[in-house]
Amino acid sequence: MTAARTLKDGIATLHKTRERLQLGGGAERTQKQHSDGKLTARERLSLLLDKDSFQETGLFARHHATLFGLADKTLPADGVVTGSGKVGGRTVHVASQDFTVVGGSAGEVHGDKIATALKASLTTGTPFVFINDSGGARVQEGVGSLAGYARVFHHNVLLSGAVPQISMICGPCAGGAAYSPALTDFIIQTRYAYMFITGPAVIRQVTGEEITSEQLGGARAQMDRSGVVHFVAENDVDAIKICKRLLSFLPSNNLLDPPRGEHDKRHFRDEALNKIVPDESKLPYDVREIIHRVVDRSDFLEVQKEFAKNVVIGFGRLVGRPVGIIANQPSVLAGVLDINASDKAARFIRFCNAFNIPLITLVDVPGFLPGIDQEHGGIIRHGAKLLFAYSAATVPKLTVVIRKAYGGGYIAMCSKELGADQVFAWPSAEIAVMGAEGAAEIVFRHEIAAADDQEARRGELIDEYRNTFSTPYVAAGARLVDDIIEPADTRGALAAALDSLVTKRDIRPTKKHGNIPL
Amino acid sequence: MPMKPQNEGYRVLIAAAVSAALERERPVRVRITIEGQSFDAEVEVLSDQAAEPHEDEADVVIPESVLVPPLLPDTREEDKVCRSPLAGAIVSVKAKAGRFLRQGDPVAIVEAMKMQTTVGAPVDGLVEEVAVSPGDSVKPGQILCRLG
Repeated sequence: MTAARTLKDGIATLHKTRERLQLGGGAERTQKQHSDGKLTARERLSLLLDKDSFQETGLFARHHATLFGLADKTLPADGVVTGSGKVGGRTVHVASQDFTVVGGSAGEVHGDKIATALKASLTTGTPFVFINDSGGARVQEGVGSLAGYARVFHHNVLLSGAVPQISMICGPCAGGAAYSPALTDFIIQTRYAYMFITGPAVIRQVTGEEITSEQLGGARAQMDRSGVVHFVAENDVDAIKICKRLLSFLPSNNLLDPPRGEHDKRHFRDEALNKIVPDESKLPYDVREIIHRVVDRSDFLEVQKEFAKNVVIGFGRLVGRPVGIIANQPSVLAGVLDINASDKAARFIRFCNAFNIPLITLVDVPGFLPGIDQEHGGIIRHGAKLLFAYSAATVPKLTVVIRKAYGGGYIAMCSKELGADQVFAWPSAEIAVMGAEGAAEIVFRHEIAAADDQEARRGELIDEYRNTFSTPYVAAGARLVDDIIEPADTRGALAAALDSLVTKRDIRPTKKHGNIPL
Repeated sequence: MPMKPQNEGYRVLIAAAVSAALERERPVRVRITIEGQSFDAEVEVLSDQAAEPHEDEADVVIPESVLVPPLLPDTREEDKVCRSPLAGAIVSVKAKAGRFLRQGDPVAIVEAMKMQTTVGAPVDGLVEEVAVSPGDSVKPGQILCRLG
């Protein structure tokens, strides 16, 4: 009893304590986590981070809750594993909520640990990855736990635009907690996870509507319907793969260029590109076929694949350089721009611009979507985000007009005067204020009215208008198109243009920030 | 997997179900039949080796329960109704009552905004009722078919 404590004992105690704390909520709860289809907080980190690269901070952190029987309870790491490690040799900071420790509930110390990890991300200029799996606020801690959340949100905002932030939703993420992911750049949600602000119980109480957690905030709801999520993962393992792949396109911070991958030596000329767009202008095609043929190794990471599918966005590489691609999708809603498509593209453009990722825009847009819902839903305000995002972006901007480019849709899709550095057009391009049918009705109104056979004359004049404007030559003549290229040469033309633009400087007046129409 | 004859050879369009499978496992084995002749092929998306995560490095044993899809459904009754996303005219109807459709399989082709748009099934399901026929004009949100 009275024997002096030796260093040897101290070391043994250290190892024992560390081992015990690293078990989180213990074997039984780990078992439950697995049978619920989830990995544990630490297992997720081991999959995410390069072998033996994890440096934990705050394992011994203790909560300071004294009420409701929490005082004597040890909550290992206070329910969140934090620290730093490497992904593909590059440092990232991480926080991974441990559902086995009181349901991953967020107390004050828990929140503070995440905020500390976020701060470390900012000071070191390295990405932050937050793995969410938490039942919500630790109610026993009261407002302390809310303060913890607020600290996290505040730091999410401080990091925004300085370092990339990725949230993985691998379990529940409910109530206020859902706002941390929402403030980050990308959300990856697994099919075992759900997110919502108010859950099924509250909804039942307030509105009487019946819905399950999965239906309300599952991956399908938050991807297809709300567009909150950027990637849906089948499971934890898949989510981690997506996260790593995403990180491979991104620089560690806004002062660096994105990492250049191996140079794809694939020949620049690709005859297949001459055959993707059907001759009949009413027939759709999948624009992703073009994207896959333009980017290195057909390696295209599509973002928000199931949301606003009329616009396709994602990351690819061009001769090793990461690029952000924005393309109208003619096979969905004719590729129109609507409220959701504008929001989706605008946010992506702003992310790319913040992190020095050049933009490539593929245009085949019949215009903005007409409709009462759209107008009353604020298409003016939402469509303006797209114009704003493109105009404000200072990264290299390349545009290829594939087929239709009509009216406001043409302007919005990174047209020359909106700030594109280079605009290419395929011979199939139709660049005009509006479709030939509508335009002829307006331009030749009197001529049609005066004709003996109005139908025949209308047809003739529509053809005349179409032959004049449904080509890229008028726009090229007005220097709104820099060059007309054979589709087969697209990859080469873009690669050369990008290469000549790497030194681009676009210096704007200093200001706090522009006022994007939110 | 629809086939389209081109000027030379054939163009193979990968159906949604195959590309979904490709995202999960690679390569995917497919059998292609062209004019009565079968070809076995392996389809693989070539990825950037440098960027791919090295899974074998981590020493985590992944329990089987983590790799199986969850059991609880995330769809609602309303999701089984396929609606026209925009105003236009029905060019053709692909869905037939009694047929099983996978999510994304074509239900009908709607012509609108100077384009023929294929409307896909919102979820997997058996077609219970087809509510439109070719030539009909449809409003946004109008029911095209119901799935069971």
